[in-house]
Amino acid sequence: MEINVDIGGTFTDCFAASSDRVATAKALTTHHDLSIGFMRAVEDISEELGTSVDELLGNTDAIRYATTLGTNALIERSGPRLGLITTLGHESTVPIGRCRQWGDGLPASMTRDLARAQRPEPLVPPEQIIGLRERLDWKGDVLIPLDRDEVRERIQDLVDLGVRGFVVALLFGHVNPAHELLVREVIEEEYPSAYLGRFPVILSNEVSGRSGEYVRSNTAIINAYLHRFTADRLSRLRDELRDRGYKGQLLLVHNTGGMGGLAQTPPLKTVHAGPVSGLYGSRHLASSFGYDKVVTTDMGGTSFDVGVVVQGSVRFYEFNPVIDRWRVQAPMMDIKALGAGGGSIARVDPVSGVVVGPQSAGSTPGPACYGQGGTEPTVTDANLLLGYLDPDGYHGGELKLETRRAERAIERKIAKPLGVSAVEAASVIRHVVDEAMGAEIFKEVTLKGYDPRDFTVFSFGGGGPLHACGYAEALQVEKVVVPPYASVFSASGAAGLELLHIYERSAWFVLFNPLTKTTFEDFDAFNAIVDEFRGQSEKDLAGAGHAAEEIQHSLELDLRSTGQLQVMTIASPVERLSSKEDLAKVIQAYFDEYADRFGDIALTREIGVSIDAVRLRSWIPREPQKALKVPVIERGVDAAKRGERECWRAPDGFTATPVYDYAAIGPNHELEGPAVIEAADTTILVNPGWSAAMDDYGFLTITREDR
Amino acid sequence: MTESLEAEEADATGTAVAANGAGQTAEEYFADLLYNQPVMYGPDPEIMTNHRIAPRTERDESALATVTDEVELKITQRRLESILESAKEMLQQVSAAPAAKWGDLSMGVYSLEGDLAICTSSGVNIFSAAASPVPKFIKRYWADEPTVGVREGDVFYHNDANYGGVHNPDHTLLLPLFADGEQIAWVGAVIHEGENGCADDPGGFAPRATTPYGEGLRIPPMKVGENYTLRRDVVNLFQNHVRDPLLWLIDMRSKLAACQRVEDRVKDLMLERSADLVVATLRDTLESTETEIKRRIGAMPDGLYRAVAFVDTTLLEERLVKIAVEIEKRGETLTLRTDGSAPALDRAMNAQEHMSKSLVANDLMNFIWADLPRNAGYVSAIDFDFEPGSILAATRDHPTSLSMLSAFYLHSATHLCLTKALFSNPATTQVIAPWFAMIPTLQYGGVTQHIQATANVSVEINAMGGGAHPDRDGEHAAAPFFATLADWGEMEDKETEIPVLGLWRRLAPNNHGFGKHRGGASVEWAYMLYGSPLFAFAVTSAGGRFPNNSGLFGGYGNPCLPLTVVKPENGLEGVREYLASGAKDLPYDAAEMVASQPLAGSYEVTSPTKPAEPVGEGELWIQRMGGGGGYGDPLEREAESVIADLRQDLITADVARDLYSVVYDTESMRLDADGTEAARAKARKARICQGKPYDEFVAEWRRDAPPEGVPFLGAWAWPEEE
Repeated sequence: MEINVDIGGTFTDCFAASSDRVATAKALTTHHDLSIGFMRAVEDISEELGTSVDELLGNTDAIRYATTLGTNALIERSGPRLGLITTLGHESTVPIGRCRQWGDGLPASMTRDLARAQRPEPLVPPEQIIGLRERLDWKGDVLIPLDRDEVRERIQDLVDLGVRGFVVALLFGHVNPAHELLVREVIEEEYPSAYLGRFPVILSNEVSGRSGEYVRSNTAIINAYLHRFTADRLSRLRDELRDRGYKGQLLLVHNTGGMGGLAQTPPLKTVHAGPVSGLYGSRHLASSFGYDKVVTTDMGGTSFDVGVVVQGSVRFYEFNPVIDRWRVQAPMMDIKALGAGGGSIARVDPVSGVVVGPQSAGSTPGPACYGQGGTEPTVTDANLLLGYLDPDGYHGGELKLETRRAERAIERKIAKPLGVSAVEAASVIRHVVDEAMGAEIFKEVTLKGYDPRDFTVFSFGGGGPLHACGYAEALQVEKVVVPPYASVFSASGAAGLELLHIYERSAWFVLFNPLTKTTFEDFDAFNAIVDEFRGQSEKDLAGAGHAAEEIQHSLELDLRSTGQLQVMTIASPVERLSSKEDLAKVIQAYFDEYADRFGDIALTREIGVSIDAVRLRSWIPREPQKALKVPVIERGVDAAKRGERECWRAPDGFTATPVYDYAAIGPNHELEGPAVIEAADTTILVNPGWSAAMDDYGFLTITREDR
Repeated sequence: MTESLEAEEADATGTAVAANGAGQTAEEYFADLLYNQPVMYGPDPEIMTNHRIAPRTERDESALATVTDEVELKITQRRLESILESAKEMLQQVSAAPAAKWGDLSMGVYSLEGDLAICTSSGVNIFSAAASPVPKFIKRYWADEPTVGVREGDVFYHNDANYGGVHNPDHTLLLPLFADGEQIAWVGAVIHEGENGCADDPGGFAPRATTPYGEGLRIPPMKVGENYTLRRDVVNLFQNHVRDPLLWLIDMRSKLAACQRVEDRVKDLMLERSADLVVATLRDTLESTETEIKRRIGAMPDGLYRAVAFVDTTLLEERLVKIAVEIEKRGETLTLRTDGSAPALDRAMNAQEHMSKSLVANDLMNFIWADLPRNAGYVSAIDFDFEPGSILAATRDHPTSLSMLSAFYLHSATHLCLTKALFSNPATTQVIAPWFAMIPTLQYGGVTQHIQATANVSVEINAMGGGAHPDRDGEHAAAPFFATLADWGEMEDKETEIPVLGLWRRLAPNNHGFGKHRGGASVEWAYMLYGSPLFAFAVTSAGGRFPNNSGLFGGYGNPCLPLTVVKPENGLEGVREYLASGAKDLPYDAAEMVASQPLAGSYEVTSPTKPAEPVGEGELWIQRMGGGGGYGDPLEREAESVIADLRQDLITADVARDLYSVVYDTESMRLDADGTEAARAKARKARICQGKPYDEFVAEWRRDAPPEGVPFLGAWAWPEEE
């Protein structure tokens, strides 16, 4: 048995699978101590399997855990008091945050008004940032040597301020770490561990080998900030699991799409791990079911996560992602979280009409129909009023929805200002949110240089399948796939993860220069980096018990046309550079990728091309998880029909619409839209003009038929 | 015309001739001869001065009539916005123009009549109010001109700001958008490109120009390609005029690629929905924006609001150049006047009327009512009354490549007027003190340490300090006032790519407006040339001797920002030796550096207007970007906040003592609350003692002319006082 747990903002999802069985569970997330929700979900699974928790854990080979622990600590600002040590003259780098930091992590609608620009409370207050009189140049040569005595004095200043951890981020520390190492040496000399306890000293060169003092500093700060917090809580959970009979390793899902044990997991790697395992799972599914291009959509209570999967492409990594409000430097699978969930609030704007989100009613007070004090009209309220949701069957009937409250909220805030009826207003909310999700997907897909119409939409999460046909129509996408276990899909995605390490470093290799009519010749310098990374990966994976020959590598290069901002990552066509032919292959691969992404017209070969960074991904391939066939249901699809419900649709108004029980739909069942399919934790809406069919593995494919 | 009519007209004038065999009267003949044979098609005064959105056309009416559900209009608007944002992000990535990288670009869809209807909201907003004249010109002059015409796939180009646009370094590429053979709109991309082939100055700006002919290549709206293909001979003509032909090649291509991407997507949208829906959406967006702005103007209190600002340079000499703004608000009408401002000069800092209007629109878009779609509807809702001959209403005979210098001050003064008007009406507006609005930024160019050519404006332009709020301090180094999200990147990337060493770049003490709430501070930067023998630096700014902007309601403005240039005696080697010895007395501050002169060499403190000049390795240029204005009386600032400012080196001890009247223990930095209270009481009393009757004050302070020796340009008094 293997157990995969994904902690989300509202629910903790659990997916357990053995060679012949699958069980799923959903427990409420316990924000004060995430391990409680974790254990509850495991308890539910053991009940479903008819066994005890201890017995289940005793028979479990692997537990993979995607946690939001880190994100919570950042949002709550519950980390330790840190001191940042940087180069004198550059103490403002982190507080200023490349100027645009005030807008990082905010939706576009909130970044238009300079009069409302406001930075978040900093992780390291400016008083706790000190500058050391030292300087390296871009090659790492020392211009101003670092004075050990000065370090000692300035560290004392920080200690006097009560800091409980140090981040050392000096300019060009990633090229020449000597000064950063000297600072650590002095701290350790002055404050041996007995004195300071387990206060971390994080050096920027150890968290990233890439250029960019602001993002590298932030990466180090966040790792230091979450260090103790994650270490304590996760080791507690690991110990509890061990006490209850689990003998394996607690594997943490990484946002790189890999995973690792506690010791191999810097805290930053756990952030956004849940959505990443969903995206990763989709990659595997897409590949095994022959979909080349997939956009994954996960709609929960507060957000809508979008990911793009294209087989064989490297365009699904973000190298400078924003965590909460902080831009960092770490390769992370690219997931865009948009403020459009069931709890998103609708309002009327004087020029733009009805606008939905990014404000959300969250789970407390939640949509008006929850009856928990919420008065703002939300997407869930609209769905309820339109008849798409069953007021008595929401979350398996655990939460009774009050249509009257939904109607009142929509009536007051939307219908009246628009001068329409409440249901008409609800229909507008739905239409607007579908279009908004469609527009955001459009942007994500086109930015990566693709045409959305070539894509299949994977829809999962509690709220996605209710809107999938809607945003697919907005995108002119013809096919939507709702995977089995859609509501715990991210947890199930973790099942396919592999051990993965990513090594990267900034470099500056000019591959050809039309001004000097020269081409790159220092192949040894390039190959030395590749060899170093390979050696490092063999060492790291040997630690996890894997021999060098088991490792697969993929060399990626960040390339840039001279003077352009665009840094494009390509999968290198060669493993090392040994000849002009190799060099030509690399340059041509860049040109091909560029033209594919931006069009031939935008490609100007007349300028030079440089390598910006070298990256090696090394992983241990695993047998892909075998999809389990779902049981054949002898009775026809009509037997799955629960009855009919009045659902509102323009222009016909309320119309009797068939409602199906998801659990009673099996392989080869087909049905026509309009139809509502109700599962325990999600509702699937098949729009008119679409039809749905389930395959042997439980995938429900909804296809547009009216075009 | 029928024969009988011709006969009647001939009879009426009694001067029928058949001079050209076309049956014209002599009047008509000479009218044709004198007025209907243009030598060239210059800027059309009607297009250039009329900033209103064009009236609805029959095509608009018929398109709007097809719309049964208004929601469709709003959804299509958002769809068009995301198409544009996506294309803009692509353009930002693939263009070569240095300024585009931090957001000095824009993409938009224009109505068929030429009004910019939907525009990207990221990037520079000034474009959205200045861009419309360009397609209007093409429509009026080239659409029916047999040698030009407007057909599907045609590519138009433009940079001469006398025909529209912000200034000549901004280049616009336009594609007509067709549906079933009928043109229904325009798609455009604008980038601040830089190099324009100016006679004396590289990089697009021409601080030394005294006529428009020194400002380089001036392209009126013209066709540069057909069938989505640029004519290489035309591109070659442009390239032949400029110092950086490669930049032009890359960016003409990148703009075309981005416009084509928009065109493709809009065509898909029309195929899915209809061309009518797109036409109706463009019209509806323009009209609803204008209507909403007018409604909001109506909700403001009526009144007359005035502010002045002074530019302290003409680019070639120090002068006080007056920029006066008067805003009269009555009902839904808001009229902006600039009477009393300096006259237009033979210096490159004049602003054309449409540029001035765009800066007013920028304040509305980025500060006053930022929630609406960016388009020509903003500026259309305002009335303007510019004094002819003003520096803010220059003609095509004036050089204008640095129109920002005067127009940015117009922005600050307009902001003061509008925030005063909106003080008691804060529903949709956060009333804040003026954002810093000038460009004391390094410009550089030459050959890099990697033997690659480069020319750029340094990114500190993005670090303007924010104005203080009624309830909190302003944001430090947050954004240029004309682009809400702009990135200054990473120093390590910059030093790796180009031959500069940023010795320091940090928030500087006293570099903001003081007040009950202080303005956001900005940085002092110090760049040394490092690693190239072939490189030039320049700075083109104002405010070295007279502050750029003021505070609000008792808050202070930012201080003056002169340029410091240090030329070390022994070049880079001397600097290297000094740094290697530990640089213990390097103060990391320009003023202290000049005072203590730790490096042997020459120290120059000068106006921040220094045209491009070659620099030697080791030479150090130091300058401050400005901070935002303060809000309210400094004596009302929380004393603990003053101590916090001190701890963070945002202010110096004398400011804490003399301006904020805060008393504290200089060792422990602990506040002395009682001492502070007493000091503040004393300061207030001193103010009372300074008080005098109003007439006495006027008699003492009033001057009927500028002080002797102050070179002043503009009217001394407001019009009715003269």
